[in-house]
Amino acid sequence: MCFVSRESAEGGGVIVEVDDKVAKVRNIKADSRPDSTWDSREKIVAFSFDYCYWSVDPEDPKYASQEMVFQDLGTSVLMGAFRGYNICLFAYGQTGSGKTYTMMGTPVSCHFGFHDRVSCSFKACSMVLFLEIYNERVRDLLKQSDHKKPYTLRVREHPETGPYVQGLSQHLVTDYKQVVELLEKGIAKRRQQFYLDLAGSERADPSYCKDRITEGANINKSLVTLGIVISTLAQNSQMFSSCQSINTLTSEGESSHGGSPSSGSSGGARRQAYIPYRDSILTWLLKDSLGGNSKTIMIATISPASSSYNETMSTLRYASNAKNIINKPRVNEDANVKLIRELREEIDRLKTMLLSFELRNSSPSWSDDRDGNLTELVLQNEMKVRVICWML
Amino acid sequence: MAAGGGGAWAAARDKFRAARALSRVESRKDPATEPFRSKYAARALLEEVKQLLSGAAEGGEAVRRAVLEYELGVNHADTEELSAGEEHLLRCTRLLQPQRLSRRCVALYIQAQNNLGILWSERDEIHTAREHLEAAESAYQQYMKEDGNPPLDPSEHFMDEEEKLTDQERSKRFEKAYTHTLYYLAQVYQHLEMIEKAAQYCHTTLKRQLEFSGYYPVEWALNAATLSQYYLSKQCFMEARHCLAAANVIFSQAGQVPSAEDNETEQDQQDLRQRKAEIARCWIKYCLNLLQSARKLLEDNIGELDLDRQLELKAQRKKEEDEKENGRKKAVLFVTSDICDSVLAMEEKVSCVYPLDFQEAREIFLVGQNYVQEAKEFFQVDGYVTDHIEIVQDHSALFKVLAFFEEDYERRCKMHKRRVDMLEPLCADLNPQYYLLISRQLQFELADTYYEMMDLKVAIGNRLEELDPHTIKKINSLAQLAIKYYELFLDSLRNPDKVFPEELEEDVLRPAMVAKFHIARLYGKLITSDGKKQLENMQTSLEYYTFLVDYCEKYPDAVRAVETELELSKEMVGLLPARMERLRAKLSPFI
Repeated sequence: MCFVSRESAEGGGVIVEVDDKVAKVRNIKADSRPDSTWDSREKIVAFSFDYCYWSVDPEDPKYASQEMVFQDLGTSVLMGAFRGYNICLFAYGQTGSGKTYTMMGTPVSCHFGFHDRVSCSFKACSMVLFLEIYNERVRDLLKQSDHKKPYTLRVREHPETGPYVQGLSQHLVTDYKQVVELLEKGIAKRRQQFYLDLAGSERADPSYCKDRITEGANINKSLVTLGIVISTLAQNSQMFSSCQSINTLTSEGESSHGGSPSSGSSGGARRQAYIPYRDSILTWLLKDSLGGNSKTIMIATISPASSSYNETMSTLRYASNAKNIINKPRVNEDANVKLIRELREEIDRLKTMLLSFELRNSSPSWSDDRDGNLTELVLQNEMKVRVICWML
Repeated sequence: MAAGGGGAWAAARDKFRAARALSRVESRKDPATEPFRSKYAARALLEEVKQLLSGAAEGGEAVRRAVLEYELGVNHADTEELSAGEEHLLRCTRLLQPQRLSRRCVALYIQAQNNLGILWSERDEIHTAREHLEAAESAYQQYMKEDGNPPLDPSEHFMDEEEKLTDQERSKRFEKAYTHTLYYLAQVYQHLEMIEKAAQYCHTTLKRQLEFSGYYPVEWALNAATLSQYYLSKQCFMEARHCLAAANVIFSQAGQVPSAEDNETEQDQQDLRQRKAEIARCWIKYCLNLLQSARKLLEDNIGELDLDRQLELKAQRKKEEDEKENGRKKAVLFVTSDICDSVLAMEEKVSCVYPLDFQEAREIFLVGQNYVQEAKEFFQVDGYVTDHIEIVQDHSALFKVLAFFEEDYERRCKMHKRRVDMLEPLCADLNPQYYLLISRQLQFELADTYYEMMDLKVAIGNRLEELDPHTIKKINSLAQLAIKYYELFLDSLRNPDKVFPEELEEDVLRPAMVAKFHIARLYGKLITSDGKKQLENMQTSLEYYTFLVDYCEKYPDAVRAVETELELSKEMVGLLPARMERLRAKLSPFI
């Protein structure tokens, strides 16, 4: 879903419009050009979501209140949790677009929520973890780091206990007040440190980067590296070349082969290529939580202001792609093809056998079905049965 | 220097330098609250220089004014004032137009066009961006053809004679700017979905980084390895192998060069090991794709080795061997003299032509298997569950495709056994709560592999005079294991209350239906001497076929996903009851 908030709306004209379940963004870079040769055609990009909320002006008839959002999303989160699903609710968006407000509300309307740059999850309703993912670095917001240098944590996976952030502190809570205290502490810590992205010419240097892998989805200006260009290239060519696995960008696509087994003989392997550039940590953390017995709600918060055009676009792109990062099971089609071929043969055998059985049935002597030409028509299985009988 | 009065020139020169220092160095330290502080300061200085120059040298010194327009253009673009940035840059190129191919101007012209390209791509106007970048590209090519001497660097227009750069430095900067042009073009072509062209430009960018030493070894190696994955999708195995071989060679430099990367911290060491393992994984995919493509060429319509085709391809290969050398010369190669031999040596370790028989396939398999071991050293299951399993799945896929080339059924069966041995413990130790999707993949693959093994045992049994009890037992137990894993997969679809969903989600619809279908078939294949038992198996088989038929009746949208399976299931649902009737009659002849 997408959530347009009021904060920072003052940064220039409003370029976002919400129409039922569609968010439309106008490209201001295109139409603000003073150049007279410009044909002034507007570029509007539309993104569809399950829900879209407009929370800019309380006077607006379309205005979505905190209560409305809670009714739509919060209740389904709680219901799901009671039914035993793994629930993940997270907000994603640029600074000041209203993530914390959406999640925490004002202190009076207290519904809890978690995740993203500001992420926090409950384990058995008693543990609070609070971390920040920013520019692909993971930081514990509830732990004092003694070093000047920002302390970054590693995300790992354990076969039994699942993905975890190595060394992330856990805090026991017993009531809502404690949760709020911890969150406030974490938010305060967040403000202490700023990472400033380098802009300018360096941003596009093919040799630049090192470990700063940033993708379009990142909040600040994207540092495009040659690595990203090449990995996108390799990914795209996967999509174009292997019609078998259309949705395999990050997933194991079980694609639309319409049940035609002949199309499947090529689809033995899973991913045909390995692309070393990691998914963003967020994508990676989400990958498994988006499928199966878990329910995930992603809230993309954006500012309607024209000054936020780039961030808004990248947030919405990420959000609308989030659906596609699910791993899917796939069928090994060549095994299936073989099975189908065999079964066809068996069906033919069965038909012949039953047909001849019917014929015999109408004739006076059919009891000797163990002999004569029928033997050849009997199922492979049956022959084997007899072999065993004789041997036993 | 025709720089007007000495004092004015000196002032202009110093201000210009100060502006550059502000813009390039100071601006990095600007606080987040005022991110453009230094840029604005630099802009003010540049405007002053412009004033100084217009007073001193009237209308002359077009190049120097062009340099200023360029700096102002970049400055505005950096502070997100694109329209103003564009104006300045356009003024710059207009000033240069008449002499853009001269030694004094060409470098600046290319840089201005580069920046216009970036600017337009930020406006999402890729076609315009492309025009500017192609203008830069053709300026470079034309200049190199007509002149070719190292041209002046734009900054030199604000230097005193004695400070001017050496030809070597000029050349380095000029080539670097052009490398940027190619690199931006690579991105532009990618956006325009001109994938092949994009790849070609990426490749050339890599090559130029190598030639002009503008790279970090690890980064470069990883990029080359990634590019190999693009070539794999295009079935260009020679190019893919070349990229991978070069990646290995350049990566090995990383350990040797005591550079900034040599911090010796544990983190860095770990990163280095990770990169190495990642390159190894690219190699695994290379071996796997080469084997699988060969298989596709060689298999007949029932998925077995087509012997006529094999002969045909072998003859064809002989013919092509001479032409191959020529093809190699045409491709873009990373051949700077010092790494050329090492790359060639690396390439010789594995073939890049389709393997046509077991021996050839085995050689590629072994190379792939070595890289599997290398990759697993870093990506251990504890800590890297997903990666580790993906590598093991590749290992399993390597065995699977090797089995295709193996004629002997017993040995083929043993290869599948190896697959089971590596996948089964992973599957058992994996917590599906966190790795549901991977665990489903493993279940499905294990089920398929057991099925395959059972099939092979049946084929072996059919060749015997008599089916011995041992083989029958083996067949049945393999079939039971296949059923077990299909059932595990189906169980994973149950909701938290352990109820099988009424309606299946779209992404699991086909796998679930196919699993049901396979189980139905497997019950039909179980061998038993006990007639009652056989009836039971047939009944179970019928129930699974019925599931497909009923489901598709209830949800007609599902038909699309399982057309063939449904058609056959319908037939079986029609035939099996009659067949069972007959068996019953036979079992109790007196009723």
